[in-house]
Amino acid sequence: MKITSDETAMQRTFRCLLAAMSRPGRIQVLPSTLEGGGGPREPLFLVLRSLLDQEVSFAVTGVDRTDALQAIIAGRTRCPAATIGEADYIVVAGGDSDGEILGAKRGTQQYPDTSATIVFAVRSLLAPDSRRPAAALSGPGIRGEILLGPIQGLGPRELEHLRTLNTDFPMGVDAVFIDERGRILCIPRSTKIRIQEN
Amino acid sequence: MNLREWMGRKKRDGCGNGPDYSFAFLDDVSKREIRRKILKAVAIPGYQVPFGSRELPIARGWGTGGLQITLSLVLPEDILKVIDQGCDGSVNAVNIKRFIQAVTGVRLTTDTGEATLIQTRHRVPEEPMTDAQILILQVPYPEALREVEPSERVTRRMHAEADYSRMWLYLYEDIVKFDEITIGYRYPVTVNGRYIMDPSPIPRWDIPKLHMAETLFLFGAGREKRIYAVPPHTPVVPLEFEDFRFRVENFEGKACARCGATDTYLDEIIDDATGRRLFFCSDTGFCDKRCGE
Amino acid sequence: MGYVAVKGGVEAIENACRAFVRERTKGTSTPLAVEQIRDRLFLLVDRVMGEGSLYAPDLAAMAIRQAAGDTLEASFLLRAYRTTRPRLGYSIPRSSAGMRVIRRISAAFKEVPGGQILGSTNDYTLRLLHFDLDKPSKAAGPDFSGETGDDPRDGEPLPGTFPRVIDILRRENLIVTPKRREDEPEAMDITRESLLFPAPRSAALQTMARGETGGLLLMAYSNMRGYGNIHPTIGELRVGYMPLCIRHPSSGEPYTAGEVKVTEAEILAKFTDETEGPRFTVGYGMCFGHNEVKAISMAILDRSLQTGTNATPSEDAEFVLSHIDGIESMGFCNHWKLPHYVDFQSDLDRLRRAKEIHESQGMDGKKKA
Repeated sequence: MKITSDETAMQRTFRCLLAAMSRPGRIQVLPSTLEGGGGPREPLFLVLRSLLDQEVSFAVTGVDRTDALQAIIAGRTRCPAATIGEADYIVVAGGDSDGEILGAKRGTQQYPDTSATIVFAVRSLLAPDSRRPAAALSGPGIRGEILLGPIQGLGPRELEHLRTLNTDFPMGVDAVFIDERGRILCIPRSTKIRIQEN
Repeated sequence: MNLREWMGRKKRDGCGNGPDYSFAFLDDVSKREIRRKILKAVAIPGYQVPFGSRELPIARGWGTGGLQITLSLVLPEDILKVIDQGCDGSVNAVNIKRFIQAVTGVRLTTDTGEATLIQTRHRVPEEPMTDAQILILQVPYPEALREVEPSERVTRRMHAEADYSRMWLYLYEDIVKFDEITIGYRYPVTVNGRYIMDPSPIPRWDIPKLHMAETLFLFGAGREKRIYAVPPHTPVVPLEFEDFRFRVENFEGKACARCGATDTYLDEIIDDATGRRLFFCSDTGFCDKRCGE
Repeated sequence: MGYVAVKGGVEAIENACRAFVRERTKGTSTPLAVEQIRDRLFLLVDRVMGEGSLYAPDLAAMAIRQAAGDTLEASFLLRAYRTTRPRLGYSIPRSSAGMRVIRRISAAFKEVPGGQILGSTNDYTLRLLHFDLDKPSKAAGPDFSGETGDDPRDGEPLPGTFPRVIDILRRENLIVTPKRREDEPEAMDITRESLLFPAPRSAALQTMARGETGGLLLMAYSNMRGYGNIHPTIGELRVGYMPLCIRHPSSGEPYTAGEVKVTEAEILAKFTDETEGPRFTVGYGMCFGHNEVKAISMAILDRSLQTGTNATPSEDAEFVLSHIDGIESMGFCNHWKLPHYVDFQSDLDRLRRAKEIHESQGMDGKKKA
């Protein structure tokens, strides 16, 4: 049997994502076998390649959105681009969608899974000033409550937007946060977000 | 040539008919679809996510749903345990194990504590599982409401509206007739206060193990093409009335004839010669461990 | 002791597998060659390719040999193999007007443009067992048998394509125009997406094209017998080869990669008067290989599913489409052979408890229904 390193890297990436999705708010670290030169976007590409292909669609938004980035994602995953309202995966480059994600599809009451997954590409999930939590999370996958530290490079209102998108459970969106060092964290729609007043 | 070598054989002299199977058997497109659906399932606890279930070399109804989940996330360094009705040595468990090992090269174990992945049919292991493990359950009927409504269109709507009155009525009628809830296995549960879920045909004994657990539970129904999940630390509550409580199976006064356990789910064996009844642990790995094997 | 009986383990499985191989190869007859199955049992090969959802005559013949002729098992082998193959592209939709026809008949008209072409068929044979089938002599059997080695076409070549009967009727405004619901995808693929209800027609047709011949026949027969009222007329039944056109992966230019043998059936059924005035409605069936019973059954079911009422089983899309897959139904049927003793123990516990309550309430002797 041929085991290519790419095949197992994809499985490893997915296991990491699965751990993050089933334990919201807890940081997981992606496998170090990064392709290419290991630039700041490689963790994002790794996650996208483990999930995206010609059977789904994606959109790029956010302050760091470029056509080149969209072309690279399309090229590496063969995934067709779509509008924000239609995309199955929405990449928020630079962590700030400026409210664009509010247009994401949230599924239907009968098929809530036909919703978008929002992938935030942020600078760091471990901000230097981690004393002040950004939010308190609770719900499935969390024992009691977990404090979410401030995320470096995440737009100030993005958590609020997520909360707005997820008011009609089971409809809603699931969010994945990926930083430049290969750390990931998830906030699925089942998570209650209590934003901490600063 | 053993199975593993045969599966990896390269294409024969250009005719393209050789096996040449890839790591974990499924092609990349199939794996990615299953991964996407698993994440959705985890994000919406207890909700059945439809997926384009693939045919596997194992027959439909024999664990293809669980198997597709296992194959889409297994790593070469995983330690795998497969059980059928609690038993590691049961023919179907052996067959599934043999196949997964052939296409991935994983190490096998019968020790629940040692395993990183456990695929199971109709049992949750007795030994408490940890947050480093995943339990994958094979599911014949993913729809708990199928008992009261045969049509998928209707049950979809019932779930969408959280309209579970007919399920409650079913329990009520049971009580009127028998003065007791007579559902044995496949006992319906409410997950995270929202969806009524079929926990797969595990005995009632195993239901409390799903509640606020450390472990992630993934459910795969291959023939019915559904994936669903119970994340860790998620409330899983069996349907019951205040005056008619959910009860696990009663093994009072009985013990395993092999390891002496009085706190496990027991298989009742009829001794051919005398018609006498003997009891043994259904979880054979656990029983072996107690016996020091 | 009973305890070990359930622990068959590796050895028991391997012995059972070996025993099957032994049984398949026992006796002194010549080993079966794949080519023989492919060429001589071509109807069996065609059926297995259809139900296995993979057009590969050699592989189907191999599967039939391996499964000792069990069609469900052979189709299953093909399906499982299909799972491992990457999807390289999608074919370009083509009208069946371009089919290279080897047989076509219409029951709707005595004569049709292009003529009735019987091709090869069993329909008119006397079902008498031929004890001397293998003998090459012309005297071996009646002339109708088609087994005598004569070229049934008398050397006269068939034209490449034929006009479709249905197109002729359509030009006369006698047939409803099929409409796709707005929310329906162009062509759903049930091997990639789970079948959901209400199912788009493309998904229903795909499910039936992969369906088990006997299952489709049963459902369609129930309708034609009276649990339904389609009363079909076969507008046209064709057997032939459809060109398989794909786009070149680099240039994007369409080209013909090969051809696929199919059976196509179009049935005309009772007319409606909904929007365009009175017209006939149509049911469509197509499957891999030469399998007329399947194509006709599928066409009848396609029409009955459009009825819109769920008055009979064959009109209920969920009922028909959820139960006609051979691989799924045989797998689930066979799974009851697996041990279920944990579940049974749980049921036993409930039964004993119910009995206990029953007896404590002094209701002995008054059996409940």
